[in-house]
Amino acid sequence: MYAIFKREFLSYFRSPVGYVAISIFSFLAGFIFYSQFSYGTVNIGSEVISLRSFFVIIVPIITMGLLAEDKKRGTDILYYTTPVSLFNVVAGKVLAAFALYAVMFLNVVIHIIVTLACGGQFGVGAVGTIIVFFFMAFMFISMGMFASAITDNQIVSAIVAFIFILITQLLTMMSEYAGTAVTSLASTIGIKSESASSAGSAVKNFVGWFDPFAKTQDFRLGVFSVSALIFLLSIGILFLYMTYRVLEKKRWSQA
Amino acid sequence: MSKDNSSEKINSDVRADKMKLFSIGSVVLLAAIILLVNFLFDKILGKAMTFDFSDSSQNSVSKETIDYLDTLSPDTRIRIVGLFNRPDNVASTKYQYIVPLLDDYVKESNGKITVEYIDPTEHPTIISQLDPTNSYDLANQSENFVVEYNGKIKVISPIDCYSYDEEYYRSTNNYLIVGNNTEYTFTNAMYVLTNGYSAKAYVVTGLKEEGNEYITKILNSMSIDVESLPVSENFAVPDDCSLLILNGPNSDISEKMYVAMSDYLSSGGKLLVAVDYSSINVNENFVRLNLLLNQMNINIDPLLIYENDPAYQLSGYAYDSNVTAVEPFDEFSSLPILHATYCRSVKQAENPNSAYITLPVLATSDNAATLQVDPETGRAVDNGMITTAKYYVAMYSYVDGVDASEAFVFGTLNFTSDLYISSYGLNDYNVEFLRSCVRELVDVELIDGVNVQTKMIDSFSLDTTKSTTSASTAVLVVFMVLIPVVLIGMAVIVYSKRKNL
Repeated sequence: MYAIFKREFLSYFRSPVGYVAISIFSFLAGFIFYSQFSYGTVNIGSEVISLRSFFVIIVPIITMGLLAEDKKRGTDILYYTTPVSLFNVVAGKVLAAFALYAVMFLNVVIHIIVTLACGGQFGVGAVGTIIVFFFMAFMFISMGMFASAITDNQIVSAIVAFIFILITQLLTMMSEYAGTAVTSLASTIGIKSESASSAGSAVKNFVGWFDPFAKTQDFRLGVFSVSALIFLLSIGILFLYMTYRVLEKKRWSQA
Repeated sequence: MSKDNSSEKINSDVRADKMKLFSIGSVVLLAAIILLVNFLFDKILGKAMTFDFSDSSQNSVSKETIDYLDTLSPDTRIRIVGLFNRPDNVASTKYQYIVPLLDDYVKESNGKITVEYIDPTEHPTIISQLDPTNSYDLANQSENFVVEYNGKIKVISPIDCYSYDEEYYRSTNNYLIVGNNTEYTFTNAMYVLTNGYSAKAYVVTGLKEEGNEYITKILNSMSIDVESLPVSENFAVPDDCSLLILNGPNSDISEKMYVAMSDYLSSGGKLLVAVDYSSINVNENFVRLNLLLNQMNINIDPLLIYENDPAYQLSGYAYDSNVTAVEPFDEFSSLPILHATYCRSVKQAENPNSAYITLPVLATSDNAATLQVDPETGRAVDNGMITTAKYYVAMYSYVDGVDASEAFVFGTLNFTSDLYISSYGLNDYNVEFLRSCVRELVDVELIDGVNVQTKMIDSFSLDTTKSTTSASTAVLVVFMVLIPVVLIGMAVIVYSKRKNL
């Protein structure tokens, strides 16, 4: 697994992808930091939360080539023929992407140092947002990796990852719409308004339950919920397993 | 041969189909297990596995509240209803400290408290359930919370849950939250609903005073109901008045008020007066108010106290200084050194009424002075400086006996004003001192409310000497230009070197 991790991680820096991804992240983080700094108040927690919005751009860039590139070149045959388990392949690749995210995050570490040097605060809420940031990064990278496993075209992979992440980020809004739609539908078919509202609320709550952003919103206040982290972790594991199954299926199909 | 190949292909297809089925089945099974485990974990252990590490535990109820909840009988049912749908994302909204804390109330109350979010536009019956007589106009309280116990309700606005920097508001017209009083507000609302008020205070309004929001909060938390008593032609002190308050009047009382308040005091009334020396009232000598107070041997000076002792001055400012609580009032607060700003001197009246005993409450250093300020220039009037001495900033007067009148008179507003309390919080030493004064004045046995601390909210401000314009420019150049450009440059170099590989 270490060999795969090392190869994948270094490959980011043997091509422009890693530099471009870090550059975009640096610019966005720098913009958010500067916006706060120029007003004389810096909340690192807010900066990290804002950066989460850019998962939708950064993650597809760093995951699109993870498996799709190998499939396109035909080098994926090595996974099936060399004495390495597919689990190690998947784990090594996801860890490499995760490590790249950690490297990107060094920007925020520098911002934290500057903030403290300027008499600002780095409180427990900021620590909470950073923890959530990395758990979400793991979840979204897993989604991106799955997207990369189901196609041999990097662009298609990036688009699929983009859609997965976008849907996740819009779950709050979608739950609102779903609730309103069900309420309207129930009212239209003649259900009493209170029952229609209850049905709408139930649907909204159901869809909203899957929203990782709503689950982790209290971290920024210093309230840490283990169940929210388990949720992020388990969704990530689910996508990794799906990736593993896709590779496994291909191994047997090739055979 | 071809038969063998065909058979192999069929076997391979069957195996691929089985593999596909296994893949789909195992993924569906894993997804179901993950969802089930998450759902159960969330429902069963979700709250137990949530930890509040915030500074001053912003989102957890304190020991004081838990102790109060423990005193309630197990069959107590307090219902908190937010008159809106539960917000999905409370970050950076006025509910960000309220919703998580209310969740903690539920967790800590052992079923005595329930929290619901019901939008009256979707469920109109909630209004008649909570307020059958429509006394609170709940239909127009769509952003507020209702605390209900045994048919009695109190309405809490999110605005009541925070302290604001009043000075910042006055200069910018924007609110800057400095303290979180959510727990203070909700716990004391429950306390009053479950215990009832034990006294009633009237605050005289209409004398150009600033406001009484915070003193009302403080008195409510001491289970004292507070009502305004506006200046009018028919001014009279109601019979149920346990305490009459003049908080920061900037104009004198009328003759009618003087008579009504004299009658009130002669029949054993309790009075709390706080005035200061400000640009609005420089020329106000409070003649009638002094006539009233003179009956109790107290007189408010028309002069401003100037503290000469640097050890008493705060930030080297002579009008903003420490004052010491004089014995026996030094026990009224955990710290006998208190904070007074723009004070008038309060002294004993010239012709003392022997029936009253007058005691100094707060004193300056021995090296203070009083002076007259020109309201137009803001400067001390020549010859205004009077002898250097110890001056009193507050006095207490009382008569021994049953139903005897009592009064505390402060020459500063640092104990009662919205401006001061909003800046220093509801648990400042001055506020603690004020509570003791009120306890001394109000005869009925007050079961003091629940003394929940104001939770100060983090300030993310940078040191202004370090976050200068040039520092901002440096941040802009380094983080938004230099680092990204260097990285893009490296990307170009790597691409150009490896494009032919």
